[in-house]
Amino acid sequence: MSKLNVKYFFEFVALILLQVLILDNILFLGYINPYIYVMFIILLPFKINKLPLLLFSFFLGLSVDFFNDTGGIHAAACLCIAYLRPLFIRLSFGINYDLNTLKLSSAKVRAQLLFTIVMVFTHHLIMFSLEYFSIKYSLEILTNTLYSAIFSSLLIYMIILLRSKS
Amino acid sequence: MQQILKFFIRNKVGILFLGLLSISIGLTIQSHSYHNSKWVSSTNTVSSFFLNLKYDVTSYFSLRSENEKLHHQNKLIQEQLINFKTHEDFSTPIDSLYNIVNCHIISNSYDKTDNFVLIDVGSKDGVKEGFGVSLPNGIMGIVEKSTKHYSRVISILNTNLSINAKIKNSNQFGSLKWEALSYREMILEDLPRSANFKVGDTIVTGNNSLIFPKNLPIGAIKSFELDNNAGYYFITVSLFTDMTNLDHAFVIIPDGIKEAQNLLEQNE
Repeated sequence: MSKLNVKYFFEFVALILLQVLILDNILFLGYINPYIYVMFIILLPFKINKLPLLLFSFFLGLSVDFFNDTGGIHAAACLCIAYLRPLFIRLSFGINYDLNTLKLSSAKVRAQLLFTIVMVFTHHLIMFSLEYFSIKYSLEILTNTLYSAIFSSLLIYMIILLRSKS
Repeated sequence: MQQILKFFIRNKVGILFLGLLSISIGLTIQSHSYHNSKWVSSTNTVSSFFLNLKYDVTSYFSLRSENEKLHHQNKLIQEQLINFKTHEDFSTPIDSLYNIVNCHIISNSYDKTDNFVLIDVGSKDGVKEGFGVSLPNGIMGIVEKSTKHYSRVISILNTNLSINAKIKNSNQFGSLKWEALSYREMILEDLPRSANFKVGDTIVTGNNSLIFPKNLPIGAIKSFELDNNAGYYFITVSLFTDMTNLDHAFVIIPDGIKEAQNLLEQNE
């Protein structure tokens, strides 16, 4: 196993544990919860094959689900944003970019922020919709998505900045 | 075979995505009872729509057997009802007074002055001459002659037949006859002027008949007029059943009829 894979494996496990042991208990203002394990999907290399990408994100979400006892909502949400990740990359970084040379830490601030926010927002939207599973709670879904997404994306972006500085 | 494999390989990302998505949604649905019930109720609307369509087609093919079942059920209910009503003080066992035999109407007539009906039960089923035949909502007539498998019934649409009938909820009775005018109307005569009724009242079979149990519905009062001497009423009764559209009937076999008839004949 290459060094990169080992690093990714540790990151996987560490993020899940951080999420379920610490962050799930925060409940900022009573109901907002940050979900920063999504950072794993954001930070995967841009030129990874799509098949492993889907599988990794599925298992990431599934593990968080096991801890939260919520069925498959995190798995479904992570799967969806992994599937849509190439689209979001094209959206935030422009069509003409060469994926071999692109790195998240070296891109422009605007592109980083846009990418992070879009990924986190989509993930939270899918997750909360599946959690409520009904149309008459649309308002709650949207407010929860908005507040949690803002909180999560802020945290994720700060961590990305910290990592790129070091 | 190779084309199928090529299809799978070309779209492996999409197929993997759909597979994993269905796994995760499946886990979500079966893990919480709320999600489960929502999912089940929404799939119910889809499946119930298609199954309903299928039922509309296939139920048509089982109409005949369904009809027979209903006919049989009708017979049982009618039997219980007649025996219950006739013997209201419960001193004898309830279903011992009348028995009912189901039958179908093979041939019907309603346009002649004297009409007869052919039914498909005969002496083999216990049907003898003189038994009454009733319909689900009315009476049909009296058995005139029966052979082993079939019987001929004098229809009430026959000028020679006269039935003992009374107004429901009272004991004033008269004779119900047919005047060959319309297959829906009969005339009830011999009701005294003191009788108390209005248009729309129900006419039922009377208490004095050995052939029909009492209180079987026949029709409703359509109009009335006094006869020439102003002593009796002529009441036009419109029948409940349409005699042109008959399918099945009940033959009423009274158990104690032999005894009652012997007693009557003794005293004459």
